[in-house]
Amino acid sequence: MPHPPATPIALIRRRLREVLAMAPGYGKTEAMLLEFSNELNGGGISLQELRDACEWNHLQGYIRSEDDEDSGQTLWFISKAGIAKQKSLT
Amino acid sequence: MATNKNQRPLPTRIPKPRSDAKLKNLARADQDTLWVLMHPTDSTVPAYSLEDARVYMLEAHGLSVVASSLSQWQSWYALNLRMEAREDAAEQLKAEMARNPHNSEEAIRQAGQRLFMTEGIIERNFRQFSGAAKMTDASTKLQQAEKKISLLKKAGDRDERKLRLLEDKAAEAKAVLLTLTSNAKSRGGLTPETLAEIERAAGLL
Repeated sequence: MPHPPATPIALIRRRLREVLAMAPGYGKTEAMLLEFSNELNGGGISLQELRDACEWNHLQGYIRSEDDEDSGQTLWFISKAGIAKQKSLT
Repeated sequence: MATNKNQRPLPTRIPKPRSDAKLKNLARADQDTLWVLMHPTDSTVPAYSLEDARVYMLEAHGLSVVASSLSQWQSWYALNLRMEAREDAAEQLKAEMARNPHNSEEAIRQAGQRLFMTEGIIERNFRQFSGAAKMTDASTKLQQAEKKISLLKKAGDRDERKLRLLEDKAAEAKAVLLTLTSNAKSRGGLTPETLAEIERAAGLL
């Protein structure tokens, strides 16, 4: 079976911000981000690609993270800079 | 700024908005309308195809959008609706919890976050969740009613015990009075009027 065409990294980074911009006051886990980013993209985003996109957006200050002590998971949020970045693209 | 060979500034390139961005930037009411046209709630109304929606966008908003953009917008909008549903539920829970002054701000925030994260409850099994919530509510009410009955029963038992004690005391007093009147009669130490009073009092008891 042929592989679906690879999603450009810039698009994955944008999809991630798009997901985080929805209900921005609530943190999303990595699993949620993977599911929702793929939903927006029509599939094709791997966990590694998502992690890379998280790291890049984090380094740029577009997203921030919080550790949830109860669940032991990292929650991701969009930052003000991330929201501004999204608006600049639309 | 970029320049050409003659050192004249080149016009700044204005990025063309992406086709799906045009849709996402529409007023919310317009997006809602487009969504309903493509996903009518009434099963007797035929849903707009991508092509129908393209024609509608051109006629109603003067926007030319490609089918892939409409498709992308649909995915985005559907996810947005789900996120909003999760957010609404979490906000409702937080508002409910905030009514209790014993709940700290942090506890309320965490509870909202938990509900937001709880996959499957709101989206996939909303009815089940709603039913479970109602059952929990009914169960709580039942527990409260049972507790109330138990308290009332305890209070009733207490009253009954009190009444029995009073009755015992009254019977005892009556017996004493009867003994006294009987003794007084036999000794002739009390006037007939006083005796009559005592007898009446004993009778009342």
